[in-house]
Amino acid sequence: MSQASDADQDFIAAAMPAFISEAGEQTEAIESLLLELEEQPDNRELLDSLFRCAHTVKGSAGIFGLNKVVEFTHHVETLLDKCRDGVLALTPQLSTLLLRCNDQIKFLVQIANDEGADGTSQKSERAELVAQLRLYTEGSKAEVSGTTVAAPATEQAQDKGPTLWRIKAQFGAETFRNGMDPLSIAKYLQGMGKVESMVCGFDQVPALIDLDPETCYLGFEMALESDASRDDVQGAFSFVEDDCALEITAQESTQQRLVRQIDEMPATPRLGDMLVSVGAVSHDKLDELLSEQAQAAPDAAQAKPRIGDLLETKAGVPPKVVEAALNKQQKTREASGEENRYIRVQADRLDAVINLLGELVIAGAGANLLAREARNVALVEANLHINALIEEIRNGTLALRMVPVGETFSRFRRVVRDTAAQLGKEVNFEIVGGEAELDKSMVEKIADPLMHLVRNSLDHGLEPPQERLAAGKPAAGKLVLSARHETGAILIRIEDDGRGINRDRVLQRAWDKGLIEQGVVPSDDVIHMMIFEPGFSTAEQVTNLSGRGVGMDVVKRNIEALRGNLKLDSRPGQGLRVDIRLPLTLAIIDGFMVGVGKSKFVLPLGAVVEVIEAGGQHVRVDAQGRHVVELRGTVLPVVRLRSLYDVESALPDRTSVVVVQAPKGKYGIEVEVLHGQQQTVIKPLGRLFKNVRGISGSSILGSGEVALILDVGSLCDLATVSPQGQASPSDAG
Amino acid sequence: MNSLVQPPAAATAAGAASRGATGQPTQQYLLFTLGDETFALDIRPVREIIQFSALTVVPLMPDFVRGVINLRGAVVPVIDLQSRFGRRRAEMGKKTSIIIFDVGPPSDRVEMGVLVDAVSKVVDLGAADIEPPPQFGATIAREFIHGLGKVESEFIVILEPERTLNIDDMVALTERHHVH
Amino acid sequence: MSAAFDLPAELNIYGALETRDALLAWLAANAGADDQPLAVNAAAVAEVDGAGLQLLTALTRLDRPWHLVDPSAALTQACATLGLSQWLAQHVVTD
Repeated sequence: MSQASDADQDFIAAAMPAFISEAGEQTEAIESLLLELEEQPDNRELLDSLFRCAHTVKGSAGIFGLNKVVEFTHHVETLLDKCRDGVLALTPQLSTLLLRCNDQIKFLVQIANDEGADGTSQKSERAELVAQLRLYTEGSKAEVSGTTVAAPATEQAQDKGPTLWRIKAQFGAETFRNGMDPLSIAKYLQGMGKVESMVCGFDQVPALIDLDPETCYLGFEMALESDASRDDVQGAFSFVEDDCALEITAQESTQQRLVRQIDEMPATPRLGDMLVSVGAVSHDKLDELLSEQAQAAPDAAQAKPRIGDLLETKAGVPPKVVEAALNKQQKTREASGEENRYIRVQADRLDAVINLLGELVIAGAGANLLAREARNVALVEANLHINALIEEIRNGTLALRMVPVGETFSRFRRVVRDTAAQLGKEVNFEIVGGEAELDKSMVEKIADPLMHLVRNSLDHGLEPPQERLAAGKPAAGKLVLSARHETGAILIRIEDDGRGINRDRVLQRAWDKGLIEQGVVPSDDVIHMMIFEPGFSTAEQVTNLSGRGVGMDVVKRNIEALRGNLKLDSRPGQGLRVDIRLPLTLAIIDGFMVGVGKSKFVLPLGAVVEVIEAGGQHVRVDAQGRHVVELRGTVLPVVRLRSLYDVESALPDRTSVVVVQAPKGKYGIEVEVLHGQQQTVIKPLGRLFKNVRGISGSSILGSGEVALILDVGSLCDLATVSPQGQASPSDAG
Repeated sequence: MNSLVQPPAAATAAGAASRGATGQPTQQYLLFTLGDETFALDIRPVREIIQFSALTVVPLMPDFVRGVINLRGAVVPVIDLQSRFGRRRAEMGKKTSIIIFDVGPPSDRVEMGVLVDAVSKVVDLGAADIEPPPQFGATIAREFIHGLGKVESEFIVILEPERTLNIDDMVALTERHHVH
Repeated sequence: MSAAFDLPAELNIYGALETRDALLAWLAANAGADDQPLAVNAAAVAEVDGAGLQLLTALTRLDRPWHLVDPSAALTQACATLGLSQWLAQHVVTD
């Protein structure tokens, strides 16, 4: 469309990603609002917000010359306008239509740059949507022998002041003979409001000689400003309607125009300015009133006259117009407050800062060491102060990358709604703990697996309403998606009150597929986890939603790739609970450092429960050959770091046991040196080490040494297995 | 960790190709010793050479992964080539060095350190100076050999970095190592 | 001779036919003075309806000059209501 110059093209190319991202946010908001509105269809504010979102998308798309987006969104906007004016009610069908339209808008925005991506199926879908939108906005056209009504029959009075009705009537020949008179109709209409203009149409009246005085040849065109509804206006013609050609159209009265213009203005916070720019008051008059206001003697008893009041009383600005301006002012203040709260930041710039911060922590620790070695008290104190500041900056910066999981969870509402409808199931979907925050990249990676698990609950877990009622459950199933912080990890739980996992069927399937040896019956936990095996699906009819079991094993793999773990808790007939635990790998951790031989290890401070100094002497070997220690009556398994890692060096006299809390329970780690608290930077070990158990990363200490960070969760797995012998490469080479 | 030798300034892609005595374009190769053998490697992926000092052992890894070091804030794994070639692991000597390489596909480049007994010198070799790998008789597996380079009337094994330092291979070996 | 047609007091549907015929007769009678504008006196009009106004508007098609004289308040009012004020102003001549 636009013959953009090269500079324009460059601008467009550079700004396009931002547009797509922002338009994406608007469409997300539209979807949320539509779903909210289903609960409260009359909420005026939600409707306004909804309209604004569509309007914003249309506007920005226009700047980029994206005609398809503009055209399609325009239809949606027209319909939304009618909704917010109260002309159209937001019925469930309309809501569904709008959701489909929103999907189309999303599609059009995404293919913004790629003309070719718009296929025929999308085009015909779009055409169908537009046709449906039009049905709502234009209503059915009633053709009753010459009478045309140009809007849907139900139209409520608008809240913006009187309407300007344009009435065009051509009376039928029999009007007089039927006892009717255009003059009296005109008089009646007069009584309904203010006649802005009136013109009689008599060009059909023939010459006197040919005139039949009892035949009516008259018509008229009237512009009437009135609070009356269309029905009222039409009512004036009720006795002549049958053979009168009548056209009634609503037009903007001046007042309405002013109100609309104020509403559509870009943010202009000052009341007077707004009114001047729409022409409701002259600039000079405004100045006059402002100086009058300024000069008003501030009495103790009286407050300064408000400019709005002055404009109403002294400048004759209609009250409704002032009201509109005040509303706009309020909205602008709120909006700018909202907008100013956020700044859009490029993710990689943030990452660069976080990396530098990591270097800073290490440098600070190094400086600290040197200061201590120099035995310079003042220097040591100065360093401590610097390190404290670094810690604060670090906390603040890391928080920048955190986003509440609730944002991602909310996207699921739509999926749940549509899927439940598709499956003919009723679902109450609850989101709990959406404020829990996760690193942005992790949130993005967890979204798909979660979606899949939610779908699985809907598809296989929750029963159809009749079945539920027969089982004594409420017809609507309950599905809860929750998030909660634990030490060093986040727990995401998907819980439903459906039928749970059919253990016997799963076991049989596992036998059939050879995943479990025929006849062997492992524990329930093991059987339940079978559903995550590739190619596994016990659904009688594999619905196209959850797939042929291809989905579940990918879910497990994705979660493991994030170093998370999955746990299932199934109660037959009562429901299924899926727990996903994801470690929070912050780039910098508060650690507790320990030493074994010449090696140093770091434990996440939050996982350390207590330290039994010289506890090594209390470690004994139990009947199964495992090392254990007794702590106030409880027997805890113990991991001997030394033997597990085959550390070579002289055995010290005393060892300590650090008691840690793992998801599976408490256990002890036997170490040789306790180095104490240390803030360290986490450095990933790299792909080469991805299979190392018990280690979650490495850390560079102030001294420059590399310490390994122990993974409390997987380390305990090693404790429950008998210690290995010499760890020599068996097939290396 | 001091850097012993920065690769000569000419060791950029552009500079690496110069003209040899025969007038043909040549590449530069770094010679180093493992035990009593000398090997060579194309100098282009070499980032730097450092003296061996503190090495952090990563437990439960095969012998050829000696551990990791701190390279200016980055944690870099160190590979023991002797082990990698299936021999006894290297002993630390006075001249033990670590050669830091860039390895991996362009989209996934990582740094890796290679433990060697000593680094000797850099030579220029033209295409004519390099023979294809021998069919048999070589002391190490054929896949690791890029070719045989003629240096002062002797043949030196030029190693193939893509295979020698292939991360996927090494990960696979690590996995097998874990299955006791 | 400046003939004037006096519109009746009731200019409405009931007398519309009659008034029309009377007008025609008067027009025929005054056919001779073509250049002389015919005067239609509206001072007496007290009651008027749409049919009556319609009748007047038919005069527009006269092929000879004419004008309205002395429109009564009732007529002026009715013209305003039906949107004939401009028409009225065009054709009124004040004596």
